[in-house]
Amino acid sequence: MMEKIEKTDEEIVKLVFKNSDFFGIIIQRYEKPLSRYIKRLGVFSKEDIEDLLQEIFIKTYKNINDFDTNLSFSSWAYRIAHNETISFFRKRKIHPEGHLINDSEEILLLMRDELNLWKEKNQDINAEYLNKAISEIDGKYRDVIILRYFEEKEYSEISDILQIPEGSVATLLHRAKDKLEEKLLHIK
Amino acid sequence: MKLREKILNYIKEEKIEPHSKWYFVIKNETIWALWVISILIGAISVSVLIFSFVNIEWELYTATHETFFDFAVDSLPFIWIISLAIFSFVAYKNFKNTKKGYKYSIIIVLLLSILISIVGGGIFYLFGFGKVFDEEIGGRIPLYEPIFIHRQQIWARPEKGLIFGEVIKTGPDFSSFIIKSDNGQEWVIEGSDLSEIDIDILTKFKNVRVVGVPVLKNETDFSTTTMKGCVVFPWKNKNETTCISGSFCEQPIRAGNFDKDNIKNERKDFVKRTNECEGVHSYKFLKDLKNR
Repeated sequence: MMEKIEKTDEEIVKLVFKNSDFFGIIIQRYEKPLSRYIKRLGVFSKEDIEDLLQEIFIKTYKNINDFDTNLSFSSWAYRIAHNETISFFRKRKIHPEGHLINDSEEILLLMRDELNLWKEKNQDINAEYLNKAISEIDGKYRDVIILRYFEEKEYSEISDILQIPEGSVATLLHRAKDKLEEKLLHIK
Repeated sequence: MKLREKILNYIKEEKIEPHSKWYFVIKNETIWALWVISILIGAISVSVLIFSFVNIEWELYTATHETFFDFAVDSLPFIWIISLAIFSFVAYKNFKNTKKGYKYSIIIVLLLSILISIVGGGIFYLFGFGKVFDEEIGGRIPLYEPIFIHRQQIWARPEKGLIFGEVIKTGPDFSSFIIKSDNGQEWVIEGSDLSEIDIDILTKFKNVRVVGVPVLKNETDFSTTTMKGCVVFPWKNKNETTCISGSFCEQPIRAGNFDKDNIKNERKDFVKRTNECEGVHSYKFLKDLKNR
């Protein structure tokens, strides 16, 4: 089994075509990252997260033949997770709420380096303020902030996940930081 | 139970199978087919637009409409402009839904869709399909009139002093002649105010159009079949390519065809004309023509 786990996601996908049990490895690999990701997108309840994860993995399995091998499997899985989470909010007619307080200090420090406001004023980052600001900005900005700084995805990966051009990722990210700084100013 | 076991059991119990490769192949091909269809409709629209712009008689607008704005609103083929806009957008949406469509920006995809439609439309037009599409497709669209039908309607308004038809009888020196209009009505045109160039057109063309002033029997009776002719233009029916004789036969009907020298030889100078034609729209056109 250990030998199989060392294979790449793409290699495992090929094995899933022969035997659905290999899909278990995919679930094992992506359960935690996707759980963390949908939590960051604003789904809090443990039951909701589990239900969503189940839907995401079932959908991934059903659509496995649609997986484009030119894409990384991770981006594809994140794309499904993102779309399913957005559908979840739409179905429930609820808006996502910020829930990033359990993220590590490293992420907060990274955010501080990225935001001119704090860099210039040399202020200490406040996780509570940051969470509030992120939860208040528009969803399209929040998505790129989460993927870039919390999930540490490259621009090309964010482009594949959100299905937008790479140029738009850069533009959104730039604007997102401006919006975030604006919100932080008001919060303070 | 762990999520992994839970999901794998669910897959087995519910006998969930991945969608077949063909399902996705057909889905993707359908999206591309819809894109091609949208581009094709865009190209059809462009070919009719080119055909319309070439055949709209811009030079004669003063003869048929009060203002250029009225003429533009009445003559521009808005339905094809709207069709091009809608199907370029549909093409964009379809392209975006292809597997890699999201990688391209809206501007690039939209411009590319419009550009392909323009190139395709240009090719259609060059092969003569603009007219075919205008008549065969446009003719089936409610409230839309193909350009030649529309032109006929513009020139079949005797109450506005606009009439077209076949010259079936001419008097001596063209002092009067009879035109049989499209609906079979015969109109007596008084030609005493016509110029040399008008007479020239009457001798060269079987079908003509006349701008004039309806001669009313009295102030209350509008049922007239007589018109004071002020200016004559050649008329080509939609499938007609022949005329009686002369250089006009080889050239499209354009105001530019009127020769400056011929204008000098007008049968009647403007000042010698009756003032009955001064009220018609084309009077300005005539004056402009004289000043060329």
